[in-house]
Amino acid sequence: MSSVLELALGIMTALGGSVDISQLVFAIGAGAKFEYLLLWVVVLGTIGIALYSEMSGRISAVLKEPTFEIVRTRLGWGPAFGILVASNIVNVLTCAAELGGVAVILQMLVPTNYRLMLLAGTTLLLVTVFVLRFKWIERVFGLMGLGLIVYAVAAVSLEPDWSEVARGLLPQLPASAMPGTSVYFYYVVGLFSSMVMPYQVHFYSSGGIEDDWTPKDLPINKVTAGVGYLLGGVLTMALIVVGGALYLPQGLDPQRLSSTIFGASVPLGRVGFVLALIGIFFAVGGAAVETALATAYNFAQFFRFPWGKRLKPGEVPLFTLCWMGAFVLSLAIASSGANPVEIVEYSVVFAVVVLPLTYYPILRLADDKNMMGKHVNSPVIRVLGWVYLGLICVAAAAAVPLMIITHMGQG
Amino acid sequence: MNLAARIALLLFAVAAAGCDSPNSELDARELTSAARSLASLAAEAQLLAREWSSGSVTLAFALVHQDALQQESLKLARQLAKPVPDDLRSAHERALALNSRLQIGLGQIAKAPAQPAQLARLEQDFKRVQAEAKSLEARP
Repeated sequence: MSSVLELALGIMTALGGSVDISQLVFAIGAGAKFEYLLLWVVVLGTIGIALYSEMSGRISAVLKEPTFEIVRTRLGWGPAFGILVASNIVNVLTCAAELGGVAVILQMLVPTNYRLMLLAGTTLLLVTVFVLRFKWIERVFGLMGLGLIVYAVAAVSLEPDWSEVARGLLPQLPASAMPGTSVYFYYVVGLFSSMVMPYQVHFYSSGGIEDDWTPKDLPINKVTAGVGYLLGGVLTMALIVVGGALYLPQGLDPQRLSSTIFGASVPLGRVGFVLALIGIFFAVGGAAVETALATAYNFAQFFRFPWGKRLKPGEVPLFTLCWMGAFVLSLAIASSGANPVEIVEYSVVFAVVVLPLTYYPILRLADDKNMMGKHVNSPVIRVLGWVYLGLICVAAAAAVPLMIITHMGQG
Repeated sequence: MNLAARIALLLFAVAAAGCDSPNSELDARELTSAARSLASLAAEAQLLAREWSSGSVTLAFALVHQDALQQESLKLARQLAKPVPDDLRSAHERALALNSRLQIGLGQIAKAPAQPAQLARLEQDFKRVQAEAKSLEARP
């Protein structure tokens, strides 16, 4: 396959795979509550995830070292074990929410019992991951997830006030008619966290090794992380615009995954409805797969047993058992009947608490000239990396208090 | 206190914040929040009725979303099922009545596929519920 096609596929895969249930919920909810005021958070989050994904991909290509090996080497066994447990709790919670989302979408095709659809959806994903190689998993879910572009078309069709949209790119406090400042900051932290979830970096870095990246692949890493996440950011902005232009004027606060479908069906009719269903199914299903695999990657890399979807399941039995276990555990959580949107809100808030400890070792290693040689961080990346780490620490400190004060954003 | 104990305490605090005793009295903030949720649910019910009537969504979607909204309405009824102080009694009764009206209407959306007139009537009723819930939310 030509390298141009490979690159195009990589970008589209990153775009299709960049939005999951947490971004759908937080972005549309943010628009429904604060119109376009939180667009600047998307800019902030997009730069952050692109920056750290590029760094972790570069480390994978140069040192062949995935994220959790770095965490263990840099922080030592004890703290790293704590991060492993916390990251995997967040992963399993997120996976449970994504599986719940898959079940809701399947119910819209076959209106039957939720738990039955949950079981069917999980089985379908388990079989898909078992059968497909890594590259095909990425492509199937990433490319089919491109159906979510329907929200970008919907945003334009709704004819928002573009000058108001542009104003949203600059930070500003909410107007008096909107929910209070604490709810605003809860959404700032939630939206930012949903864009920089740790599993994305774990998956991206392990994916670089699965794809057998070498230093020759660094330009692909740069473009995939940069352009892919940039386009993903545009898609997230479109979701906020849809929230602000459609849900806010009607006084509607979307609290369910099914509510997000209106964002496409109202401006675009049945075609929008169908494309949104397809896009959400694959985006959310893809995120379920990523979180289950990220859980197994983390365990395997921490305990140093063989891993990889590029290998046959029989060659990596413990790894296979781990991702299957992650699916089963997530299924059990989702079967409790809790609203997937509520599960994802908890996972996003707790993810941000774990974030600094995941990102710090990556930054330190990418900054280490002895290890990275000529591929060490440039001065600009270094400064940006530290600035973002500071922002992540602030968000981590504020997340839980804001969740309690605002009753999970309800005011 | 070691790190594990601090984390356990924090998780307990979070869990405790999420719980609420049914014996505690309903306060004004909770009632306002319930009225806001009620108005939002009614707005969403209107949208569902409109989209179903125009054929933009399928019957399966209408059934699933109708069920999701009914679940939310039931949750709201549970939140309102608390002892009420005298000064909130009248507003509380209005909220309960509006929620019941909403629940009854929600059960009828997907049953009316080929009857645009009935859906239009439902939509109007949801609109009235939304307006009344908003006035309840904005009460002094």
